[in-house]
Amino acid sequence: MILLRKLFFLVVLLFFNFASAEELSEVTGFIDNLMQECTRLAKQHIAQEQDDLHDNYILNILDEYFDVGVMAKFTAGRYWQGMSMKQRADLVNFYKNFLARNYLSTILEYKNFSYRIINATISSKRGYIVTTDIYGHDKVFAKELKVHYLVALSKDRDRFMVNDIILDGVSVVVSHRSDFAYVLESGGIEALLKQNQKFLIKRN
Amino acid sequence: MLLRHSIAQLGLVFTALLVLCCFFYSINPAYSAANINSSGSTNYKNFYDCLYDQYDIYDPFEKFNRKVYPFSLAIDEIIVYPTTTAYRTLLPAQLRLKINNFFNNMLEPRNAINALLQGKNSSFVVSLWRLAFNSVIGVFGIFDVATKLHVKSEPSTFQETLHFYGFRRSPYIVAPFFGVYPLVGLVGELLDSVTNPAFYVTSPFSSLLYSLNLLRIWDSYFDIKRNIQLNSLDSYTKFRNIHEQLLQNKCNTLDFN
Repeated sequence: MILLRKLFFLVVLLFFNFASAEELSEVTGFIDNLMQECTRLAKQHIAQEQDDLHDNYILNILDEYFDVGVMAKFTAGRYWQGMSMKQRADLVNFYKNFLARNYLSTILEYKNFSYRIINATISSKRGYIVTTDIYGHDKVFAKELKVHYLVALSKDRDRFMVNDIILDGVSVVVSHRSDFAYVLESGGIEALLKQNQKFLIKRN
Repeated sequence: MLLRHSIAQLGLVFTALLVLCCFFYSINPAYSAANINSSGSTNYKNFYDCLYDQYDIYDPFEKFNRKVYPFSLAIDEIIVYPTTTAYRTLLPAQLRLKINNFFNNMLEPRNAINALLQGKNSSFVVSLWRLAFNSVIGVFGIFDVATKLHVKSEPSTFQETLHFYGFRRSPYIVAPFFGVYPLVGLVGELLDSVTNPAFYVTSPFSSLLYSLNLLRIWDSYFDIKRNIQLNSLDSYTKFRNIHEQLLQNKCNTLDFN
């Protein structure tokens, strides 16, 4: 009887181990796809050297791979609760443009790069952390950047979405949150949305 | 020679005074170390708690700093950026790389001292090994032979050491050429420069050495500073937050690796 119980626990343990291993390989594949898109984007930039042409491409990447709603909610902090549905939608739209501008400029700093996915781990609270190394192949100055992707299942739990990127120890959403907090404290959501023009990206 | 010694001594006295100031700020009981992973171990639960809680940033002089900040930006626009652009345009990339290697090699004593002070024995050995190898085989560090042999530099600064010994709560100030910077960071920078062999060079080339070092530092921060200034809503807050995050990451209080 004791042997049977032990065997049962072993089977359960193995099942969960396999399940988590499968999840981790799915998450790794998801980040691999994202990195391939980014590599394509950077290569396009070398060929065309026109930033505007990439705006549409990067907005599509954001739609497909990033949970901009969750990121915008975190960035707004406690102000999110006091916002109307329209204000929230406006903020998410604004944040998408803002993120595109920031993400784009970071990627384009690494015009010619390769990447390596180091590992993926299950996080206790919010999903998965995928660690990657990015190597910039500048002609002379070689750059190296450690990037952690925080990945979670989407609201419908049907696909993975990136919730945050940590570039060499600097979290994108945490720095955006502090950036937004000053404007929100001084002028509220209206003041923040007024800045939209500065970061606006038009879809082609 | 005598003048140089006096300046060095004055620098040390000034640094000691600033360290004392930082100490008095750091013993403020209001400071909560709850977001510090004292064990230094990888703990993702703690990682999230740290990351997503608001950073306890201590900025009592914020109002004054914000008034001074535009002047610091103006100095960047008028002096730092044009000079850096000229440096980039006039000097070929290969030459800039050699200059970088040379000055990075001079930072190895600083790295070794700080690694020792922080109890990082392997980093201490790596720094000494790199210093010896690059100075001799790499001709005063002009060629970074050690990195080619996969012995990568492990930078360690006095700011990190001060953080390690508990000087964590320090007010932010705006200093020309530095921008938004924690006071303890400026003390760290001063101590860093005192441990740099270039500080003690007395030849007629010393001015050239200082200028080149300054230019290559500006050059290395040029893109990131520009990016933050152009793509943020409030660059003052963003610089401050990034400083805090980088320091916590470097000091392994948040361990992502």
